[in-house]
Amino acid sequence: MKTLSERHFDALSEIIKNATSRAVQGLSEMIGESIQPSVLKVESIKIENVTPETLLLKDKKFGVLTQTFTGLVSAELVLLFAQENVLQIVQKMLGAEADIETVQECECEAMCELGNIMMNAYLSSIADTLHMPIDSAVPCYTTKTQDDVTQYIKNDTKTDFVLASHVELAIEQNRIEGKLLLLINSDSLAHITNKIDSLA
Amino acid sequence: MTKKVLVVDDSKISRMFIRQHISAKHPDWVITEATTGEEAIAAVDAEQPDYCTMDINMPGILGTDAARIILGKYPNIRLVIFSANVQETYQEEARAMGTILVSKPVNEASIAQALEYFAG
Repeated sequence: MKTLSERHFDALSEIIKNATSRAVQGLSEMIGESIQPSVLKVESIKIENVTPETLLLKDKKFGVLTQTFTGLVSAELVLLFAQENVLQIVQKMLGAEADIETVQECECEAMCELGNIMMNAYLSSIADTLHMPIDSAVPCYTTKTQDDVTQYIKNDTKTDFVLASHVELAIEQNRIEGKLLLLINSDSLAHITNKIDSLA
Repeated sequence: MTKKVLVVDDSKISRMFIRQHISAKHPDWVITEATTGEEAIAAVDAEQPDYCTMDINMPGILGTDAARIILGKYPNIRLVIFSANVQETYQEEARAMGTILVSKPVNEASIAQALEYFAG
């Protein structure tokens, strides 16, 4: 399994940072509030090194969105929010007038739509930057523990690397942490690095 | 003048937001919904709405394929592709079909863009 060269990692980091910013902008437009992203860190983790620690999973439980995509590049995108922040986000999407029962009832649908917005913004950014059309499936939402998340990733036999974006978002006075994990195999990563080389 | 709008999206939340925003501007318009491209085609055959909003990624056929079929049969329908998938390829596809792609999320600005297109 070939690792990324420094040059390729730098270029890919920049592409992923831009894609993550577009995803955050989607969240901002969805909740109608300005969001200040910070501590934007991108890293590449080999699948055998995936643990809750290497993924920087500090919380116990997460709202998890997953979306597969195909094309010249096939991969899976995983979007994570701490479970305690999920209802807060859904409340903001539905508006202050929505009562707690409605928020809880709508959690799955609202998070799927949020995932649709954020993950398609992320993927569209990468697709347009690299001139590589991507077809995406409908996102799925579930809740998982730290260990569930790690196991889910490690059970994906098609994945060789995780390209992780760690973002801290400030919404009003609240600090929310989000992660976008791109699960990708060596062949697809090679397609991307070849594209980067052709565009340089 | 009362208009009929078909909102096509597999997301209940998205349909709710589109309905709310359109109704806020045009409370007299009749809004119906479909959750797949196939349902949308049947709904257009049955009701012949004036306007339609169409998501792209839904179970079953793609919204762009459903839009192509609908516009082929009913070229006078004003149809807007309303999607989070704003890749250049889909924008080009929308233009080639003679329609526009409005970027989600559904909010006042994106609905205003759709309504402007409906009005021609």
